[in-house]
Amino acid sequence: MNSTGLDCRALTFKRSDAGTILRGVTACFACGGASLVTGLTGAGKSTLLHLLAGLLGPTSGEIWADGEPVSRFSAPHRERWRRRVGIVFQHLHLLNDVSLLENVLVPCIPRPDCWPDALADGRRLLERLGLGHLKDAPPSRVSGGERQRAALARALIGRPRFLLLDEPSAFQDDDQIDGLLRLLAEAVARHACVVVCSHDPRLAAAELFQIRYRLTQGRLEVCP
Amino acid sequence: MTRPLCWNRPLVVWAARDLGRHASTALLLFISLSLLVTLVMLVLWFDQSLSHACLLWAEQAPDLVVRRVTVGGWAPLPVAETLARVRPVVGALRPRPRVWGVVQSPVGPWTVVGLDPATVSDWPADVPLPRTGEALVGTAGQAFEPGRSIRLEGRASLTLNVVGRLPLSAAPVLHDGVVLHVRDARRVLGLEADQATDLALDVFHDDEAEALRPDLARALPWPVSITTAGEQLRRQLDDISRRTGWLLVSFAPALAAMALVVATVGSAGRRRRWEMGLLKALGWSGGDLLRLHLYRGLLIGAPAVVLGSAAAYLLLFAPGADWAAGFIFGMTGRSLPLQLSGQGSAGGLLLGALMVGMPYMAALFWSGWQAVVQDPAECLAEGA
Repeated sequence: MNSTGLDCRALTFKRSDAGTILRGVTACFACGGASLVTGLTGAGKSTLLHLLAGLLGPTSGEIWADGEPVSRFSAPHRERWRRRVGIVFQHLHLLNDVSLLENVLVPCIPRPDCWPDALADGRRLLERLGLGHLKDAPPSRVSGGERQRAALARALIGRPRFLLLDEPSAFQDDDQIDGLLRLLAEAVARHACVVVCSHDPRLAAAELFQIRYRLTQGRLEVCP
Repeated sequence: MTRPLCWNRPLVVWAARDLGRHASTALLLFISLSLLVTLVMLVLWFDQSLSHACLLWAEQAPDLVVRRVTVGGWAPLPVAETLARVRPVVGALRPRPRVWGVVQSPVGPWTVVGLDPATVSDWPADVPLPRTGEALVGTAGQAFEPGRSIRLEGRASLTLNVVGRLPLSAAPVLHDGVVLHVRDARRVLGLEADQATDLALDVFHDDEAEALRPDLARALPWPVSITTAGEQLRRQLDDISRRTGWLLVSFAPALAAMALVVATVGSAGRRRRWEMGLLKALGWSGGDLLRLHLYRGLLIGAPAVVLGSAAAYLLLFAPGADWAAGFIFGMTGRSLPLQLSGQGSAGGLLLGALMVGMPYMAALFWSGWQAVVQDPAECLAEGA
C-alpha cells in the first residue's frame, strides 16, 4: 500500500508503569488534510503524537509514513526520517538560555537543504505569530502564549511534511487561534499532513479539520 | 543528507554558541587543557632540544678518552709516559692530556678545567684566556661578576680573580664549571706538574674508535678505562630520556583527569541529556550530535593546543626563562643555549598529540557517543 500521510495499523502501546495506553489504533492521517484528535487528559494523545513522530516505538502494530514502515526503521534511519516532522510538544521544550529566533532555527542547523533560507523564514514566522519584536528575547522572559507560538514557529520552519501539534492553543486567545489556523491551513495547502491533539473546544469547532478523532480508553474513534 | 563527519558551518557556529552558553565550564576546560599542553610540550621540547644539543656537542668532543683506573678509583696519568706510549699506536690521532675535576665552589660542586695557553688554538677573541690566578666562570656562575674573587676547595684551596664568563656556546660540562690556567687547575685538583686527569684522542673515522680500544689498552702499562664519543653520547641521551620519561609518566593522572572531565562535561547531567533528546526529536541525527560534540571539543582543544605550545616554546626558549632547565634537570643559573631542530619540533608535537590529543579525542568521542545512543523520548521525559 502506497498511501500518502501517516498510517497507523493496529497500534498498541504499553508502558510498564502505566499499563496499556493505546489499544489497536488504526487510522490514516492523510497528507493535504488536517486531523484533530481529542480526548480527556491522560487519554494518550501525547503518546500517539510521539509514536507518529518516531520518538517512541509501538509495542505492537505499525506506523507507515508515505508508504514506508517508519516504526520498523533502524534508529539512524528513523532519525533521518524525523527531519520531515515538525512537532510542538505539550511541554514546549524550548531552550531557555537562547533567544526565540535561535530556538526556531535549531531544527535547520544541521540541514544544508533548509539552512540557507532559515534565518529569513524564522524571522518571517515570528513576525506572523506576533513575536517579531521578541525574536532576541529568551523564552524565560516571555509569556506562556508567546513561548507556545515560538514552539509552533520551530515546528513550521523547514516546511515539514508531517506536522504534529500537541495542545497548540492552550495559552492562546481567539485572535491568536485564528492566526494559528491560518498557518495550519497553509501547511495543508502545501500538502502537509497535519495532526493536532487538543481538547480545546475552539479548535474542535474549526472548519480546517476534515476528520476528528476521539481517543477514549486507548481506542481511536472517528467523531461524526 | 550530509556525510556524518564533514564540515558544516552552521553546526560549527552553533557549537561556538553552545560553548558560550556554558562559558565557565568551557573556560575551565580551556585553561586546564592549555596548562596540560604547556607542561607536556615543555618537557618534550626540552628533551628534543637537549638531545639535539648533545648531538652537536658530541661532534666537538674527542673520539676517545683514556683514564687510568686503580682499585681505589681514578688515578692521574703521567703525561710524558702516556704520550710516549700512545703516539706509536696506529690510528690514534692528536693525543692531548686534559686536566679537569670537580671541586667545591661557594655555590656548590663545580667542574674545574685546566687550560694551557700554549696549546690553545681556536679561542674566541672576546673571551680572555685565564692566566695564573685568574678564572673564567661558566653560565651558572652568574653571581660572580668579572673583578670579583672566587674561592675553590679541592685537594688545595685556591682564591682566584674572575676575569670573564664562558660564552653560551661552551660545552655543557662547563655550564656549572670554571676554567683556570692549567697550573692552578693542577694545584686545586692535587695533581703533580706532569700529571693529567685523562687523555683525549681523535681517530680518522668514527668506526675506528672501537677498534683502537684493545691497542690502546695494550700500549699502556696500567689498567685503563676507554670511553668512545658514541658511548658518551648514548649515556647522555639515555639520561635525558629517563628523566623526561619519568616526568611524562607523572603527568598520567593529570591526563586521565582531563579525559574524565571532558567525558563528564560532555555527556553527564540531566539538562544536557534533555537537550540532546530535544535535538534528536527536532530532526538532528546521531551523526549531527557527534559532530556538534567534536566541534565543541575542537573549538576548545585547537586554541588550547596552540596557546599551550606557544607558552611552552616561550618558557623554554624566550630569553630569561631559565626555570625549565632547573625544574627538569636541576640546572642553575642561565639556561643552556638550546635550539629546536625541525625534526625535533615535529617529533615533540607528534608525541604531544599522542599524549594529550589521543585521550582528549577519545573522551570527546566517548561522550559524543553517549549522546548518539540515547533515546530521545526518555531524555525528554527526564527533562519535562
